[in-house]
Amino acid sequence: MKRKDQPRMQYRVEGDCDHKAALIGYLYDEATASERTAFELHLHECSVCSEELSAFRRVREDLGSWQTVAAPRTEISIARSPVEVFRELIRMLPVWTRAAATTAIAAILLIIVLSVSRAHINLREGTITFGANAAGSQASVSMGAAPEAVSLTREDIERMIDARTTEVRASDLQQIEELRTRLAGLDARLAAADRGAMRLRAEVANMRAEQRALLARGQSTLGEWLFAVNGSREAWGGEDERDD
Amino acid sequence: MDLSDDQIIERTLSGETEAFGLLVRRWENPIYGLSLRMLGRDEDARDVCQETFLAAYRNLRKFRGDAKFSSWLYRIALNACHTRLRRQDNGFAQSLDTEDDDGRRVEFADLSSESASEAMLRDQRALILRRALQAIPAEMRQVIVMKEYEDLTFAEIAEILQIPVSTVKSRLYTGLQQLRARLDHLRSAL
Repeated sequence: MKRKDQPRMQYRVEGDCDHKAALIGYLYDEATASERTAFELHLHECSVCSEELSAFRRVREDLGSWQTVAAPRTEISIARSPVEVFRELIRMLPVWTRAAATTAIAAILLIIVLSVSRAHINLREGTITFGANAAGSQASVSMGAAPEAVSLTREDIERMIDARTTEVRASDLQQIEELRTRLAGLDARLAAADRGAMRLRAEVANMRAEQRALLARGQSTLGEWLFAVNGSREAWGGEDERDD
Repeated sequence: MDLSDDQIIERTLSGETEAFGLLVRRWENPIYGLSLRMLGRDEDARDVCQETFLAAYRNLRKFRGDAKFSSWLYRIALNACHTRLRRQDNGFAQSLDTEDDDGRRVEFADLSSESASEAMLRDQRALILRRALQAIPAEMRQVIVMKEYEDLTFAEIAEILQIPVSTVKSRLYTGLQQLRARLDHLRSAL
């Protein structure tokens, strides 16, 4: 910062020389051999530069008087971001754990990507097949036991869908047939039950008929008996009526 | 085998933040020395030293490696020094009168005293030098400090300050001239 109250203190030697750069290079021993020789020759004939060089050497001696002690130990506290802490945590894990974690993360990301792109996953015969169909484009990835199933075309997928449909249909037909058989069995059992019921109804009807016949015969016998009883009473003279 | 600055930077950027401590240990003395001679106060120099390494750590990803790490670090430190110097309002001259080489408070003894020891005279010489150095403009002082105390070449100083080598030499010449005048003035005053 320049201060107005202080005069600009600079020696101006009469006959100021334009060898300043050469003087500085020579003073600090950064001149080439030829520059050095040239300047030494110049010094013999230039009192300005000669005097300046001596003065600067004295200044340099003065500058050497200020030696500092070693710096106090610099302590800086570095606030680590969550990302840096996470990185360090990962670095502390064993290699196999990092590999497992990386694989798991990759698998999760793959599943998310496939889900987003309306993918389907087939698990069949030791092979995991992924198929994706997003925005009209079609992509598929296959991994598992079958080495040739690295990628599938649309035709391959359609054939697989047809085969699967046929398989599902055959399974359904078999189930329907089984149901039919079971239904027929149930029908037969129902018919047999109906026949048994008819027999029971016939037996009940017979029994009722017999009951009615027995009842009719019993009434007839009772009538005859009552007639016989009344006839004998009249024959005995009506004793009961006299008692009344 | 000592790691190079670039190797330490690479480690730090890959998450090994402790590695940065190696750079601090390696460069704290030069940075502290530069700051102390630029500012004249131990306390300020410590602060600048801390600020420099913190700024370097925070901006480490911006360091492109086309220049030397030390040049980049010196530039940060010098910027911090200039910021502090701008904040100072004529304060440095007073503090220099009452602080020793490391910024501690001392009495300014009479150089003509017959009882003064050689050590005391040496201290006084250093104190005068400090006063004279602090009195010259910062742009010249920084060139003298880097050349005299950090032992940098003209080309290295030019790289740090991002100025031509010829300007470095010119500032050095003018700075030495002004320093010589200041020293003569102070000696005659005492």
